[in-house]
Amino acid sequence: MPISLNDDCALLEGYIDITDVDILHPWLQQNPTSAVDVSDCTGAHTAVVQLLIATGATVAGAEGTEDWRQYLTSGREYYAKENA
Amino acid sequence: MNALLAQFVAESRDLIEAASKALLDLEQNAQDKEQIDQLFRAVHTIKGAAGLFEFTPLTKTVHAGEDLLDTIRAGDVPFTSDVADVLLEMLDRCVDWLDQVEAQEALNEDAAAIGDALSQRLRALIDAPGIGAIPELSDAAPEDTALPWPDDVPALPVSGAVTLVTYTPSVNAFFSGDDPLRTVQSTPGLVWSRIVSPKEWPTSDDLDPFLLHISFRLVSSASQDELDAHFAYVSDEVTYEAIVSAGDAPAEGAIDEGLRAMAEQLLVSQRSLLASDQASPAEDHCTASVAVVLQRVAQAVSIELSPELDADNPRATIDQWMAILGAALRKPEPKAVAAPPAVVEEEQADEPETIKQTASPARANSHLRVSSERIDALMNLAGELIVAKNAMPFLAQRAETMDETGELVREIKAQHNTINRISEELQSAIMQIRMVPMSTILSRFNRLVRDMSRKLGKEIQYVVEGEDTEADKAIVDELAEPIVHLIRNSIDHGLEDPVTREASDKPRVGTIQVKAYQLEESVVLEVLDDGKGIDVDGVIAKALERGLVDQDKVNNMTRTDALQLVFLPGLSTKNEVSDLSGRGVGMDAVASMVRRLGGSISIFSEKGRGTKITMKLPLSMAVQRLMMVEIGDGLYGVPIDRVVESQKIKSSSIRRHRNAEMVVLRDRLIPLVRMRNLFACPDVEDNDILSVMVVDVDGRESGLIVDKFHPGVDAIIKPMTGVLSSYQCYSGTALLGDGSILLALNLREIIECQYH
Amino acid sequence: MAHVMIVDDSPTVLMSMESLLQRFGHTVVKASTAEEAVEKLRAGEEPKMVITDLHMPGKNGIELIGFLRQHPAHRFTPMLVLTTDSQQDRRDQAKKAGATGWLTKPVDHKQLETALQKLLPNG
Repeated sequence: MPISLNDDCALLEGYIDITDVDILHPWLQQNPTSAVDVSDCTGAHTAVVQLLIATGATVAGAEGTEDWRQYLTSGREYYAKENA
Repeated sequence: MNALLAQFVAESRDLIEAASKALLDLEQNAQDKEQIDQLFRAVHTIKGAAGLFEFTPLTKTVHAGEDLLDTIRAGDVPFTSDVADVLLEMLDRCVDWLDQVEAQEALNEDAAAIGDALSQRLRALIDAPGIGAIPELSDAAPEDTALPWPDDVPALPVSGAVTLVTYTPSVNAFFSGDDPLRTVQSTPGLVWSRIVSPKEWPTSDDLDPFLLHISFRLVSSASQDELDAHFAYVSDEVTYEAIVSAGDAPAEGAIDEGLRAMAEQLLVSQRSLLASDQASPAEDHCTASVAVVLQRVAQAVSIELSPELDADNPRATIDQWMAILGAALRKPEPKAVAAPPAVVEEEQADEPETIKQTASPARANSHLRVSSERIDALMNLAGELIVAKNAMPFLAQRAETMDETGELVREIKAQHNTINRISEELQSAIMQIRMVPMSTILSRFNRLVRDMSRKLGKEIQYVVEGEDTEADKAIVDELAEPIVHLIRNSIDHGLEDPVTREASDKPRVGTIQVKAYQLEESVVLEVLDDGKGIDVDGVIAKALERGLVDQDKVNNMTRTDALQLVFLPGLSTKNEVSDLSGRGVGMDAVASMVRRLGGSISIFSEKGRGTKITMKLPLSMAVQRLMMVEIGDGLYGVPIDRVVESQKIKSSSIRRHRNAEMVVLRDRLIPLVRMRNLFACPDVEDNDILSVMVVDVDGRESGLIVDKFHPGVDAIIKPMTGVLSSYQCYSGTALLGDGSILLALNLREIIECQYH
Repeated sequence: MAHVMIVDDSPTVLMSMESLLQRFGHTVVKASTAEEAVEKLRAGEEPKMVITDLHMPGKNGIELIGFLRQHPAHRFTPMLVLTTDSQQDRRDQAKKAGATGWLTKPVDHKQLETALQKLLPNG
């Protein structure tokens, strides 16, 4: 299962599909302050990214990445890696 | 040929067949929506499949045909005979091309020119203005006119103009299978992007995570074409602006034409964005983004926008801004140039896709397409099995001489019966596979009748009866040609023109009817017309004139018999040669084709009323039961269905009339053929009792004098090959159970030999 | 890789699409009518994408998509229709019915690859 949930942390692994929102959303409602760890998350559907942004979830593992996870940082901005 | 190409050829042929049929039906009833759909679908499918290969002329032509049909389907162009003509021509052309593809995996060199001409004619019929001609977006944004770098986009390591894309997906995007962030991330030349959140998020509890609330801004270095292609699925949800970093920006000044055109286009796209029915909250950020774009457009063309954006009613402000900008951007001398694409697509009023709840049964897997060669191979094997089983009676005979108890003989006979039954069932099962309905060929002739009647100015209806009648595929296929000739003859020589018909109190429209039905082990095909019939006296006169019969014979003929003379070679009742039925393919050719198939043909005609030609053919060409006769030292086979009776007669009972010998059997005078003479075997004088096999050829009985009768066998008659094929008195060879070869007699030829 | 369903009444198209998709390492389930497609989905096929022809005997491609969108399992599945250049209006109709996008016949390797990349995770 790509999402492991416990009280203080949700661990996202691999690709998180839109259908996983059905699991993640209730968990975020119950644990609004707990962290969502995306360190091992390789990709996510727009709906998942939107959910994390909308609920203001505390995201761990996004800072300093060079891929899509940049959207989960405060600027919601993505800079493509420069191809020299 | 590779499997895909073979599949394409076979499939396309079927589709062309279906399309032709639909087309002809449409001519009867141009309003038949189902047929139009069917036709369109067939052509559409051919086109789709053709595109997989490098047959450009084919694809191009069918494409034009498809476009034409599309407009017909939409009701923009009426379906007329002219349209039908060109479409039929297109289908014919496709048949040709498919033949070429099959033969050489390529089209002939002339194909391109032919295809071009044909597509032009097809397209000429699509006269509704504007169709196919998507108004070209005025090449608005030349590379060098770009808006200044917007404030909300960070400085990026790019040089020259890049494109800023604002992507505002519909709230329901997820329900169309969209994953907008994926679309953004896979944008070609993506440099930077940002998720734009709505001003306010609903609380976590109120949030519907399956509705989309965010939008995107992104900068790409890809060309406009690449971006258009990338965002093609969501083209109404994106706007583009060419932007350039401050250093590269062109000097401010008068609005040059390129900039003006681009600004105008931006304005139009913003209008369309506002017009699309976006529900809130998407509406909010949609409006906001429009406002930003407008402000930037104004800035670029140095126009002051007033009033300030009203936060409570941004739409009202935007409308005012639009008006200001619209006026400022109007072209100096307004040209009658078509505006960029219509902004608001009206909900299409036509009924939704015909809802057919009575779904046709799934066709998939109900049919297996097998090449007829494979079936033939199977059939031959079954035939050989039947023949091989014929060896068992021989075996039983031999066993009888050694086996005293008779146990072995009984066993062999029992096994023979079992194998006999199984092989017969096997054979009939395979025959069933080979059986195809006559409709496979009969429906084709619609076209022939139509074309000929149009050409000759005759009005003709073609009626088919019993098209479900089945017969062996080989027979059905072979029948096509004789039927074509018969139909042509009927149209050309039989049916009168409408005026003549009316003058003789007949309906204007002539009728050609083809009837098929099964009669015992034969399939019967009748071609009837209600034309002027055949003049028997004319036929007789012509036959006499050409020396095909003598007066003596004619005197003894009934009128129906005399009519059969039309099947004699060299007799044509019409003096001039029509370019339609042509010379050389007369009734004699038809008759010989039918006979070659082991069939018979007869004609019946009533002057002024019409003509009926009846062809009777075996249901299958495969295994036949043969009577064996011995002549000289050879064994010969005679198809059992030709044999009337076998008799022993005294040589003294033979009567002589001129050079002919005859015998009276049951009050019938039967001409005799001495087979030994025919085969140049020495006479056996001392024989007082002669064996006569009476055979029926086209209703005429003849007696063959043979040496000995043998029992019947089942055999497959194979056509003669090699040197033997020139001997016309044999129809083929058959392999017997003991390995010997049996020659099958061609009775017609033998009887003819006797007379000439 | 992904499991893709192709619906088309032309065996030629089915054959060629299958070989293209397999070249990209995807697995394919084929159906020659909308009815057969629905049948196969009922029987447990779970494609990650559906590609359907527009014109088929029985239910057409647009009806098929409209139908599938009603089903919770296929709400978010990317669905493409096979169209030709001249069918902008049909594309629009298909989009209204819930299609994600379209492929233009003849579908070549490049076009398919681009579409898959755009629509499928790890496509």
